[in-house]
Amino acid sequence: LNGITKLSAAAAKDPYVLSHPELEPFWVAAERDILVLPFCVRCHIPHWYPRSRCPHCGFGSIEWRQASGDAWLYSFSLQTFLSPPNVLCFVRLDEGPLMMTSMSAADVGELRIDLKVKIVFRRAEAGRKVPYARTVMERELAERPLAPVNK
Amino acid sequence: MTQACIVGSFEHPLRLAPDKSVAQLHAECAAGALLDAGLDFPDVDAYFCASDAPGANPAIMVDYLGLRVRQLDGTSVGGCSYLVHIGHAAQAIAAGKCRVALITMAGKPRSDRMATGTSTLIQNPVLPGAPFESPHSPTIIGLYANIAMRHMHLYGTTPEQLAWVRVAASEHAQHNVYARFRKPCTVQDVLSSPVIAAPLHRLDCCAITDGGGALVLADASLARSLRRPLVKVRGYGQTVKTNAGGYADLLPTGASRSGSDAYAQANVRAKDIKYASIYDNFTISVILQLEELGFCSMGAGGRFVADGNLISGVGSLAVNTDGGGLCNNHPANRGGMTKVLEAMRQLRGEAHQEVQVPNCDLALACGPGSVLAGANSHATVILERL
Repeated sequence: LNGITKLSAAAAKDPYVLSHPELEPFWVAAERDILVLPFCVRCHIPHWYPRSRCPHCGFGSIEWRQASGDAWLYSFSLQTFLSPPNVLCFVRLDEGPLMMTSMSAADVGELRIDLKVKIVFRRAEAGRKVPYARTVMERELAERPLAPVNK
Repeated sequence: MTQACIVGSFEHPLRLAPDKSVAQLHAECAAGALLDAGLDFPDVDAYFCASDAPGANPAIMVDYLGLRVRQLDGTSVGGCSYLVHIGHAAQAIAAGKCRVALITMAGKPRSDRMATGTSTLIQNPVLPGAPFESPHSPTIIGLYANIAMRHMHLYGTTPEQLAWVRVAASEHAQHNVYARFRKPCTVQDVLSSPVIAAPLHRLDCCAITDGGGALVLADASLARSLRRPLVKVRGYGQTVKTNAGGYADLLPTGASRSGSDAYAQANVRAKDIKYASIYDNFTISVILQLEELGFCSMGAGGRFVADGNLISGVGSLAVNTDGGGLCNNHPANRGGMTKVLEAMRQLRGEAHQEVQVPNCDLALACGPGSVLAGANSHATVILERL
């Protein structure tokens, strides 16, 4: 992963990182704001959430590959009662899997299902950096090649 | 093979029970169901409970009640646990491993002032999805709102159609003296209640209540010796709806799979069902399950529930005639038990006369367990009055 080899001190102490030692490559890439996905070494299908073996074919070996970071909004809802409110949502990654994530409540006015979104990283309170979604600027949209919605 | 019958059922009358322990509520439900059956505690030789029982372990309540059991089951898979227990108890009875199986559930979330739907879900770091999901503060209503939003997007389902599920529940609840919310409401009442997580309003959500319920199953020969209507467990199914590694659709609840197993075992179809108890933690849940169980086509659930179609004596399918979780009772934040209790009333002809389905001899009760959009279980039972 291009010289990314270490967790930050904050991520290394995160109980969510420590509880799943086999997922460390994900958190290391996240430190550089890079989304990697676990691809099955046998059936080559990526899955989400990341795990140690393939949920599609059961094979016990996965490899981490960099994802495009492009996704499509699958569904969303403004959680008004949280402080601060957020938009809990599901996005369909261009690589195929559906991901539960969230977006800023400020974006809710322009959201509609099937909107193109990008994956970004923010540091969670516990220490690790976690994928979020954000809306795509018009300029980015023009530059972006078309991608399939489903695998 | 020995057939299992449900011979006793009991719904705790309280909806707020600050002065009783959870163990006491379990025990009162057990006593009520055994009295209903014409049996007593020494007759019980099998005990079933889920994690709402103190200690999340059947041994604790077996000890509290002084039972002598030779079959036990602590399967805890959320709200449908008790529907799963019926299947397991029926299997144990059929195998001759027990004769009288007691299932109890109870809890006090209302006394404890739980904000069940709007609290961030507990995300234990050991849960494999938690590292990726916990910072997004998923809540129960936030997840169901995503599901409702998706259903509206795909099928044109409207907030008015969702509201009809609540209206039907409230029409039924007005006849239930124990119901948490007895006042009939209108579609407009639902739409003018506060939006909690769009598109879901406050009145799209179920009640939070203390209380509980219990069931007693027995083998058919013992059941025939009791002076109660004979209700047979004719079919059951249970499943887990997974995320399929990120490729599952968000909408299915698992009802299509647990339902098809139950239908196949019972050798019946949706059109044969006279009454249905459909777990209604949110209005959208009823729509999803009605579609999956074949009461209407996929995507047509919104149109199916509209205009009072779930109201007994008005529509084509009476659903949740006790008022359901929306208006009657949702003890311990779990709906599976109360679904069976109203199905039992309907089958015995003991529902309120205003909601009783005439000659109700075949009923279905179903529900999901845990929160949809994660890995959730689902169970369906089909009961027949002989």
